[in-house]
Amino acid sequence: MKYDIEELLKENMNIQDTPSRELNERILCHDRGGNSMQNKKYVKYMPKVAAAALAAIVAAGGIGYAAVNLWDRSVAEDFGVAKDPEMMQEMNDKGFAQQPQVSGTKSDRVSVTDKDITVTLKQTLADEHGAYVCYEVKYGDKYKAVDQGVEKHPDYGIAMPRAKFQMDSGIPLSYSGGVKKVVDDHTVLYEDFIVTSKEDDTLGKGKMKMSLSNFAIDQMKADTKPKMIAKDGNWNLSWDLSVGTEKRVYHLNRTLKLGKYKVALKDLTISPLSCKLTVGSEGASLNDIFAVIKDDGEEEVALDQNGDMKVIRYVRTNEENADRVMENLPKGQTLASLDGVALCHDRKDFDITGGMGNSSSDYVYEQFRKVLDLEKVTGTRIAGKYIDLKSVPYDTVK
Amino acid sequence: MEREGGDGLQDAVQLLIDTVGDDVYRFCCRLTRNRMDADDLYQDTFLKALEQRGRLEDVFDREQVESIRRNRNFLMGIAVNLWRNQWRKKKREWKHLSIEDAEFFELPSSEEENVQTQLERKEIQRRLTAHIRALPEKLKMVVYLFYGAEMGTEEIAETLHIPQGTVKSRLYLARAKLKDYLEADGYEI
Repeated sequence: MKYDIEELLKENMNIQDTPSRELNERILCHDRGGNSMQNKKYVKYMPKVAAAALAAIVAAGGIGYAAVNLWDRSVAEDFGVAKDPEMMQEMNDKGFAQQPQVSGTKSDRVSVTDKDITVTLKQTLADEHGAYVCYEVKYGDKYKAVDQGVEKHPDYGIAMPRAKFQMDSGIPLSYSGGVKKVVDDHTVLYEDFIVTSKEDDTLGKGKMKMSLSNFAIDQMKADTKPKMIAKDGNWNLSWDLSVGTEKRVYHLNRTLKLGKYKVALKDLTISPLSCKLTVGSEGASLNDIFAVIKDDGEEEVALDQNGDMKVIRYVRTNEENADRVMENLPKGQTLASLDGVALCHDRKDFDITGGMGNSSSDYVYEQFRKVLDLEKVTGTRIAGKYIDLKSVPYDTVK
Repeated sequence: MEREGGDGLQDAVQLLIDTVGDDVYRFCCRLTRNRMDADDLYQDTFLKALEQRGRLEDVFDREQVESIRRNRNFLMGIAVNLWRNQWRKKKREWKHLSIEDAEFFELPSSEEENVQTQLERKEIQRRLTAHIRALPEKLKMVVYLFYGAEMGTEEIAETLHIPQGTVKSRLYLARAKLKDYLEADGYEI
């Protein structure tokens, strides 16, 4: 059979979806000031395991003991605090970390079983701009877990996964990535990362709602090959999200010269889970400025952050150039652009980034992938340039 | 679009959603191939557009076809930039996220076709989707805007800030590459 490429392309792009009313309402709501649009009531629920854990805490002598011991092991390892009980304790004490099964209220719904699949909330980590939600999905004996959740799509059959998150304050949230771990044939652990969509929005305290409507499962029929299907159901969880608010605000108040552009570095705000740099730039939008160097062959390649290559010039570049730079990025090298901020101890960068990065014309935001001990921060590297923070005044905001 | 007071802005947002929302949403679906991501991208696109509302045309008159077209293109331009930004970051920061993670497992089918033809079409479309996703960014975006957003080459040039001739050459190159890839898969194109 002979195909026509034009026809195939048109057919491939033929999608007839429309945005849901809820989605449009969310945009409109936000413009009204971000008030809640949903007030669903959830069944009061407190699983036995939570009650048992709570009893264990009491028996052990208080919440302090529990905070460390109830951290999800996988989360503790992923966030680099598994061997640092003091930091785990501090994260709990300051409200950044939460084990809702234990700390939650009776109105929380932190474990739901439907269609022989159980979704259980394990742990959250949250500051004012973003949250990590770790939950476990356990499949019944007849099913084998596959390492994807799914979304059933009316036109496409089975599509890729994700939990939907919503705060009852109605502020728009963006999914910023996630990790899936297949624990065994019947268990998958998810870590989903969420950030506020707008710079000025903060998570605040309030009810977080998480919903899943189907999962991919392997039916495990002996007489057939493994077959993935979508299992529909309702897994709606909700809990009072604990949000840590403590942060340090360094008043940088200096100008960074990037070639012919000047960038005013204003405040650098750091929490254990993220940082935000507010800036102002002259003559260019922040997103437009990328560090670019030329090699001997006059080919544009990216700046080596280790400083092995000499920076020839910073250019104002459009997305087109940025793409070319990214495409030509030599192996092992990192593009140094203003959409990245590193935090340092003794001039050495902490290995904390890797979560959501975001930037606009007046701020750069990084969601960390590890917990940062604020006491250890001595400097920052912005667009490859080091700034000693020891002499920079800062405020601690709680 | 300067009607800030009272419900003025909200009316304008509602009208913007009414006039261009579906087109923008479908475009987000094409870019992301994932409904959840499409929802996020759609929402972020509107929020970003509202931040820059001075650049939106007044759409209070639904008959202003040209204004509606400009707003649609403006929003799609924002969606392209947001998505490229996100995808670049994902590529850079989320090494575990393979491109397959963003694919649908199945594609739409027409009821008029017999089962065999449907399966074959689904398979070729699945492969085409993967090949489009694997195209260099600059070719991919032109394909999405031309076939997905049904923009003309002039509009694409305006949206991506590149010459119209470049748009045409990229379209040509993209089609040629996709044809080659599918032929290498064993299809007669």
